[in-house]
Amino acid sequence: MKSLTLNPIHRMQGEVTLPGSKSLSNRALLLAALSTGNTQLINLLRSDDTERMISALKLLGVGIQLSDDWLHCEVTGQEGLFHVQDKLAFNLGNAGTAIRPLAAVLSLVPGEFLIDGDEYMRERPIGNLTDALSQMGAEISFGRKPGYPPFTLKGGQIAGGPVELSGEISSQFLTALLMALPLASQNSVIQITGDQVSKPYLDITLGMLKTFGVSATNRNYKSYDIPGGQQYLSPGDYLIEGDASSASYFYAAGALGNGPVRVHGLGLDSVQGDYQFLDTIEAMGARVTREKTWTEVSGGDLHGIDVDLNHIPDAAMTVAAMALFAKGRTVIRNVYNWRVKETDRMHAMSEGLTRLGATVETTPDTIIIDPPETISPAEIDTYGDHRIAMCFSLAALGEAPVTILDPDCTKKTFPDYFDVFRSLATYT
Amino acid sequence: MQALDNFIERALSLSGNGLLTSSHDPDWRSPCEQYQDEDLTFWRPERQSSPVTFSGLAHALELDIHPDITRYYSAYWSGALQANSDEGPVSLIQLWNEEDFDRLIANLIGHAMAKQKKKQAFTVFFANTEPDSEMFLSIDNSSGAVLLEEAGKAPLREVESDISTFLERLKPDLRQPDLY
Repeated sequence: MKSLTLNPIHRMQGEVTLPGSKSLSNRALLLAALSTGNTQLINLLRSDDTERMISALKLLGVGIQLSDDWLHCEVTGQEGLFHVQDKLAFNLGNAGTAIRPLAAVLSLVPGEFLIDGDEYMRERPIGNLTDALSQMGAEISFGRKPGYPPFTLKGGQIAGGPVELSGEISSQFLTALLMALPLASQNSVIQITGDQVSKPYLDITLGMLKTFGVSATNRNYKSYDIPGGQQYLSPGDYLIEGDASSASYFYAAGALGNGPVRVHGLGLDSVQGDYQFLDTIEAMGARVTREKTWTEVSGGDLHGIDVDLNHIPDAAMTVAAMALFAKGRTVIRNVYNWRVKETDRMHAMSEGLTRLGATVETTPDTIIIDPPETISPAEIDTYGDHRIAMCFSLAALGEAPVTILDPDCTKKTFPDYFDVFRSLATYT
Repeated sequence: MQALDNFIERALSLSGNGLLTSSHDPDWRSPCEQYQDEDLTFWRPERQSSPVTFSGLAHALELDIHPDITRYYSAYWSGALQANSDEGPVSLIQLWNEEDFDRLIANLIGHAMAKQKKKQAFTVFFANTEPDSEMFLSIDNSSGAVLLEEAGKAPLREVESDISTFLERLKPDLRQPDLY
């Protein structure tokens, strides 16, 4: 198995820019295009998905000015739904984050739209969203296989009203409807059948709608009331956030490696729950500065903490790794969901921390960590879990080398994590 | 393909009536359909009496197609089959009818061209992963290994040494294919 050995690090210092997330970038582009007033999007992700969305919006007549580095993007608001002459054809490549919200919005726009993707998109079903749009009055016909792109959508016939959607599906489908229906002429109610998956993503969607001046009431993820006839309003500047749980490793690096480490792409208005990780490490003794578009962490004398981290289970793993360096015992409570991930994270964390010299005790939902006098050199089994790989990289801030087995598991969410991590390091 | 037969047997035994469901479309019929109600069609994978062949694709791409690929796609007429693996949800792509096969071949040619452009080895996709993800599973055409891939990129990693071993460890799930 591939492995990566990190040599002991003396200090962590520098700046990191976390790219804006793909789905937030495309949602922000669409909402900015529908808004009254122009919007300056900051930290837009440069990716095939966002390029597809930008091309589609330009085809719909939206003015978009991009800086060369994509960090600034000026979108001219259309003051509501797009006005199109007749027929338009869109090729959205493999951009799932573009096809879903765009199809939902176009179903409200009078006109005929041929929506297609590449060979990969054509193998991914979109039937649940098109069924919901058909239920509300859109006319949809599929080019070849029902429920899969390409399809033709005749828009402008949806007035709002009730619609049923399964909660088991991709939260992006529900997000697409939540973004489109405030622009319908009548009120809408989305009724969810079955259990809702991916609730944190929906919280982010609802937070974005609010920022862009639109209201929707979430009734405990069972139904959503969406008043019709609303208008999106530009917030002026809008920061497209980087992933807050990925940021936690760099914040921790700043706290453990003296710092300062400044992370661009996340700031004090963050809509992500994992940003609350900073409150926990502040309580442990780290120094935190929060600004609008960046956050900076410096070290201090860290001490152990007894804390319930049920609300931030991913970032809680970073707290567990930091406990290696804190004075006294750390108790992390109510993280039973560590056990129900693809990897038993409770077991993996306990095993890794023990190998590094800590004394660890676990209960079904709690981990109790007594730090070692000095950290021992160790091999860490990641079990293919990217978060385990990333949080144990912090162990290199002790005086011993740490070897991460299967480091490529970070490829899925953060392909160059270890390069970025090492770029902040000064070695002993 | 024995592992696929076994998987289907496990899936059908999960449902009370030995049938699976998906949305019904009167213009998109399959030999595997048993009956319909207003919205749903009830089906069970049906053996292809004259199995599809990949010789046309092999000819067009000027390469041999791994026998596992042919075995996997030429066994049944069926809707997408839902399952869970240790790594997360999986939706196995299957062929609904002859036209669906033509569609698959057209998409595979697109995929092959994308691979050629990037100077990457040819693979054949056979499953989608979790709904919000754009990653898919494919069979490496030269080794037969199961790979995790994202469009336009080199494969992320090998998931299993061959598709039979992979199918044997899947747990069927009765969620509908279009709940995706």
